[in-house]
Amino acid sequence: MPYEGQEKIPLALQRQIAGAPDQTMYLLLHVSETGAAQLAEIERAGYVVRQQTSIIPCYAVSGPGRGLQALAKKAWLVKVEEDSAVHTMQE
Amino acid sequence: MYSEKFSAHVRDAVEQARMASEELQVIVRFHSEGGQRSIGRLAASAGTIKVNQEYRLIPATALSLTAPALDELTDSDDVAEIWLDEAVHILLDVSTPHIRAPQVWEQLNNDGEGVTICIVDTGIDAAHPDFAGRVGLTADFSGKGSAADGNGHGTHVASTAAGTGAASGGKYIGVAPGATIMAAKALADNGSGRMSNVMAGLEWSAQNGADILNLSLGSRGSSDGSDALSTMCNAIVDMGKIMIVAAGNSGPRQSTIGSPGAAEKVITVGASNDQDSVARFSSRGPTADGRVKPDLVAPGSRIVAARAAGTSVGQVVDDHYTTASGTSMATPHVAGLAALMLRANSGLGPAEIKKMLMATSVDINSSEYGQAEADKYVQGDGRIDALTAVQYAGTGQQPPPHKPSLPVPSPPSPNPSPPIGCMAAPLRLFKLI
Repeated sequence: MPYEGQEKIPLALQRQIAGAPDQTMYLLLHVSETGAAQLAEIERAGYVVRQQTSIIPCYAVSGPGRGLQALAKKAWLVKVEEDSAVHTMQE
Repeated sequence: MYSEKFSAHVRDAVEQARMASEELQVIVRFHSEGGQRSIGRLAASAGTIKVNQEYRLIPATALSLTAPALDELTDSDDVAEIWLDEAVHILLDVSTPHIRAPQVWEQLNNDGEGVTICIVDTGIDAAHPDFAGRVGLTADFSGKGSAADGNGHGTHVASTAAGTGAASGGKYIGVAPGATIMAAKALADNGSGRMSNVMAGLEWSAQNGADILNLSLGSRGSSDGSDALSTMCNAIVDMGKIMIVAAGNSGPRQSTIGSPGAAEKVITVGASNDQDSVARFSSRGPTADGRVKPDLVAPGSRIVAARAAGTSVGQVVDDHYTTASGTSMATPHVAGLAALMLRANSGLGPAEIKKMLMATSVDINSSEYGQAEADKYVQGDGRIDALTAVQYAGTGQQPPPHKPSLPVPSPPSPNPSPPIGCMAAPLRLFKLI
């Protein structure tokens, strides 16, 4: 069922969440503003903030995918992407 | 019974291979070309001999074969001598001359002093003698609690960029041995992490004095460069920092450059090999949105550089050094070179450094696709050349392009009695440059 702000979440991620809403996910939340209010709302949605950057305003969080439904409608949330794995580039 | 056609060194290797039922790699020198041709017929009929390479300057052939097959071959009157086809490593004392870094140190009196390179990676063994007195700030973003390198990758990368070679008596010197090193540990000791760990490390580096940031890491799969990590990299370039990023190791398939190698403003580095061509594993462009990457290539095949204490990444050489391949190893060659360029002209911005590096790169013409435009997706503008790049940086005048000598020769010399060994061929080449 569609929800407000759903377009901020890539389709593949939406499907992943729909398939396993309680599974812990690692996500990057691109935001328009950072602060105590945003942190509180992110934690209320069930997420742990792992990292925060300011050069591009972004929270790296982990927690159940279902929590995004509550966050997606927030005006300060610009878009969401998966916090993908990276590796050394040694053969 | 052992033959006078090979040394005790070869004899020992043959016996070891016999005991382990393993194949041997040898180079056989024949008395004549006729004898050399006969090996092809023998290989076709025996099935236990594989011809790897035939040489023309001398009548010699590189073979893979079993010990019993070698016994038979040794008995042949056509065979004059047998050498082991030993591994030849591109060591730092070869790859840095290959890109003509020593000419910069000596002729231009420039070792990168005063420039800070941050290695965002698995950390650093700050106690390694090659970094003595030159490691600046370090920080951990992996959750380990310190920037100590329990993997070894970051230490290897750091020494390629800026190691002094102290533990090797000055032999294995990095490209910018006077530069200061910062280390942000963003990857865990298993060599992996998440984009967010890297982003945090990058931000810290950019805000704490790094001039150049080296990223020998990335995600797998083709990227269009619009993800958070790529966006962060572009933003850091906009702050005036130089970002050097590995292209990835998913070649030779096309469109295999992941994030953040696909980021538009970074300098994306593919790997060249000891034949001065593009390494097969080096990721190819275009990016997922059709842009040309990599931007250039640098030596990244079988590089011997610093080994972090207690780690065994790559093929260990000794207590202080280890061998590794990948675009990870190519990237710090460029980071070191960028440090030399900044030392030559501290007023240069990242776009100018990128332009100068690309303009002075040597076309190694992979011709993989037989057309110039497609070749860009393999080598970018070519393999870096330190001397012309730093001259360009220092004077603002683009020097004439460097024309390298022939690639590393692989056939052995017919005369010296010791078998061709580690380093012999590359050293011969670099005397010519």
